[in-house]
Amino acid sequence: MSVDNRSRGLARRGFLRGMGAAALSSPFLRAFEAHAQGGPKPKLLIFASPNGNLVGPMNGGGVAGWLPTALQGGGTGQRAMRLTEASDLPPIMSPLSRHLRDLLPIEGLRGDPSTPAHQHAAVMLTGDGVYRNEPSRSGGGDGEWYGNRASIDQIIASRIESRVLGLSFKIQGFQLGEGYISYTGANRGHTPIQDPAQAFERVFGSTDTTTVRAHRGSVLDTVLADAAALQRRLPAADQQRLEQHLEGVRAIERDLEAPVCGGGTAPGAYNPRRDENMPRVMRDHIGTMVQAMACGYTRVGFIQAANLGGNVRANWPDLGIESTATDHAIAHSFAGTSGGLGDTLNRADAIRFALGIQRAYNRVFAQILDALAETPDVDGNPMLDHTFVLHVKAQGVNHNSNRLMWIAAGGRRLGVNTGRFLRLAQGGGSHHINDLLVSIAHLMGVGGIEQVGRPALNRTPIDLS
Amino acid sequence: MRPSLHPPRLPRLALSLAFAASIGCQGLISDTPELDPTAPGAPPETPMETLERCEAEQAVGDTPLRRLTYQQYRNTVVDLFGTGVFTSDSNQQLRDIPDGSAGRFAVSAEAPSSEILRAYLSAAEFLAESIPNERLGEFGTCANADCARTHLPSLIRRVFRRAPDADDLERYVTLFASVRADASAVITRQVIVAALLASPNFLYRAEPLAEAWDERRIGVDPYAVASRLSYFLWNGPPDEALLQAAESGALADEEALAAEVERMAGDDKFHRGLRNFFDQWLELDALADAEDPEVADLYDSMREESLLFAETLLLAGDGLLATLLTADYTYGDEAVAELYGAPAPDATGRIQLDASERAGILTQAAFLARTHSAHPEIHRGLWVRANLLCDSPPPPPEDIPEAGAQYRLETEPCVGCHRRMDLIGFGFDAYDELGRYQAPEDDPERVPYVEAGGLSEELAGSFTDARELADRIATSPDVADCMTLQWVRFGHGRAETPDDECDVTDLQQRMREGGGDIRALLRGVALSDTLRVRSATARIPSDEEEGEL
Repeated sequence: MSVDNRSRGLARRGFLRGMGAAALSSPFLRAFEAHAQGGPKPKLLIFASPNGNLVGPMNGGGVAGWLPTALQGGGTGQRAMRLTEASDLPPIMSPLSRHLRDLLPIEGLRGDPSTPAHQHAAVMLTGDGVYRNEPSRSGGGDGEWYGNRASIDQIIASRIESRVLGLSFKIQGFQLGEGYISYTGANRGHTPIQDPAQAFERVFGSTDTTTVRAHRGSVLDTVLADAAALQRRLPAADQQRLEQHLEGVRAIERDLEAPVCGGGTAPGAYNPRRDENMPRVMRDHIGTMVQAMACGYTRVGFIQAANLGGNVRANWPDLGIESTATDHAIAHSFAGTSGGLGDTLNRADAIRFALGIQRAYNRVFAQILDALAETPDVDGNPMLDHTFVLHVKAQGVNHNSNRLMWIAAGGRRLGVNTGRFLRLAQGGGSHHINDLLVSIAHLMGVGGIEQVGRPALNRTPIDLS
Repeated sequence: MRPSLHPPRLPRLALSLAFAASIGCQGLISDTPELDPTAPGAPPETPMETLERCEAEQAVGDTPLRRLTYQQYRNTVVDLFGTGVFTSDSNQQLRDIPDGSAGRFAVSAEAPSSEILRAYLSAAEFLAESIPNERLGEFGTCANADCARTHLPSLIRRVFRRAPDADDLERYVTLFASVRADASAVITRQVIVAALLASPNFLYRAEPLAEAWDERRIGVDPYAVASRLSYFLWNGPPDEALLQAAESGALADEEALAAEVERMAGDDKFHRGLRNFFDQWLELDALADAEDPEVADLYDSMREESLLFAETLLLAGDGLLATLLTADYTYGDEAVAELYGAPAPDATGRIQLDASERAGILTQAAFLARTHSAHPEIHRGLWVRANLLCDSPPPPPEDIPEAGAQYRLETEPCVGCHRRMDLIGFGFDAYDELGRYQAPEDDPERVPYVEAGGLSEELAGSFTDARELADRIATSPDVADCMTLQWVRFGHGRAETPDDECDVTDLQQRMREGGGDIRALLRGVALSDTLRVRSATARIPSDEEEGEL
């Protein structure tokens, strides 16, 4: 149970080294004293996976694989059903059956109607439109775009004096904007850590005492002084931009001096950028994230399966899918629309892979829930009970942003009424994602937030109790 | 001619199609362009009138503070420290830093997040460990602060692309002394190199202001002019001669500047700059992702072919836009020749093509493979529209149904955009996903448009295949204007603004009058006033964004 106070350079590294093998072998050393005081605190963990749920042309009804049979048809009003047996879950959620009592799938959320579906990656946690940059190099005419304001995870972390820990498999894709879901402000994306070894080092600190990296503090001091001097040489328009650079360097310095978790098991060495390693990257990220939350390093995190455009080849036997096509190509081939770049599948493969890839991402989501359920919080109860977990997708039915399904889980001791499948009203009485983002702020105990994002997209918070 | 979208100061027709790019897809391609609705009845301004007006009121769009792009960072390190210094670790850190874009070319003008700064820091640390001592000049032998004080200035000057001032030197000498107290000389030198490479002086292309030219334009620091030239023409840092030209004030002299540009165009690094333009313009990086090794090899050959063809045209050929778009020859390897069913390349790599099948860079395999898709006519037409006509359609709306060509070309709201794209794209029907030529069959979807008089009436007459399309675009003034604009964007590393109209119009006029000479265009961009000034608006802080934490 320890957190180390970071100090610069050799002294700190020496301290860490002095902790010895026993401490390093403990899987979950935890808790700042302050973290443990006053009982468990609410935590938020968001899992984002690419593209939308692929259900459109299947079986004619358009909802196969998506809704429980009992909720199909039956009007547009809000309805909920209790999840009591594995067969209550729709097929794409079958990997989640061992967490039935912790689940709360929420179907029928509406995105921002003025933003194209692919761009919802930058919208879904901000509840606003996108910040547009120059026309894109890829020639599609939709240009580059990022979030238009701070996202709910960052707002919450700021209000509860925590920090957002963002971890991801490769965020590079067709569009940069699809790599960024979390924003500290307009056009200011939070870049997730992609390398599990670096994620581990961020949370547990470095034991490096012999290389150039042991002198980071001194290097950063010089870089800061360089930046300040350069700032004075530049005109006003540039000074502001450089100020943001200075803020970023200061943030690295703060992290270098901040407490870190003790112990932990570092991930093994492998190439985390190769598509076939995505399942392993996810397992490592999940381990680091849950340990970071257990020790109090953070209370707000997100794990991204990839760039949300899905520019990854989904050949992941561990997750039950062996496709030679990218997630993106699967989505388009299934929906029967052209995604460009010549990556097309025949109909049978498209259907098989489309269902397979949704199950694959839900298998990762199930691993997150497993880890949170197996890790005790400071009161001895599963950490899952005090953690609101949310599997989000930027798109809904295929490439539609008007009917999203996000899968919530956990948070029972925060008052979330889980073990249900919630189908939201369509038409009058429907909810934009903004309403759920407000509900999340309330669950996290952040007062004074009654609207998130664009005011016109807010109605009433969604009652999760 | 298309309407200008910047009426407040210039309520007239603009020459550049790009100024109208955001207008979307109103109307069909055969529609007569409307005059600027904000200036009803205003007669169109001729290019000469525009240029006369510009004599009295020159302005320039401002250049934001930019970081080095991925390729610029790599080239800069290689030029400073030689090849072989990148490891998979340092390269991966850089790969994790995405380039932004401006005017469709890679530009990193966004403020980096702390995570991106960490990647820069890690890359600098990895590089510091792999750069051999002997590549650090005299500093590579330093074991104490006195030695560092003597030999650091030349290293800092190369890395910062400007002479260090006393404070710069003092910071690094202090760093050297403090690290050396605990660490070996080797580690200490590595820490210095890491700090230099993580410094904003290295990462940014800083452009301090010098003397004002007039009310709207301020000269930039001579070192910044040197970097503007080198990153434009070489996609890399200034060499020693260029730094000296900056220091001596030679770059302020028109003749000396012209001589310097000629010297740079004769340097080997000019190949790198030219290739960089064509690689980005053709968006060939998309060919780097093939998983199948055989396809990957073929994609490499295709990419190399187009770059070699363009480079050779500009360095050893006639350098004309028309040749770029219509040539019946190319340069490549045997794989490419085989793909084309052409004789093997000669000793220079030249491949003679069947003129009935191939015409210029748009019938080369790289472009055709890059733009192939389930509906290639859309993506190929879109590329031509965006990159040769500087007229990007807006993105498709949500919930678009799967639709055949006839639906797209006859039904609102699809028709407005798709007639502007697909009818051009149909011209490439004879080429498959690898760019192989197959005698076209009568595609029932395009037959009505061929029978109606051609696939497009826009490009100075109708055409039915890529060969005829190439002839049309090769002589199109609009295409010449767009190519000019592409080089302006690339050369200045930013998108144009209405304030750039004078410079753009001047270059477009010269491009037209010069018969589409791309080499002359490059010199024009390098020697333009725009390359040596910033807007007076640089003195004004940019707006604070809303919604910040």
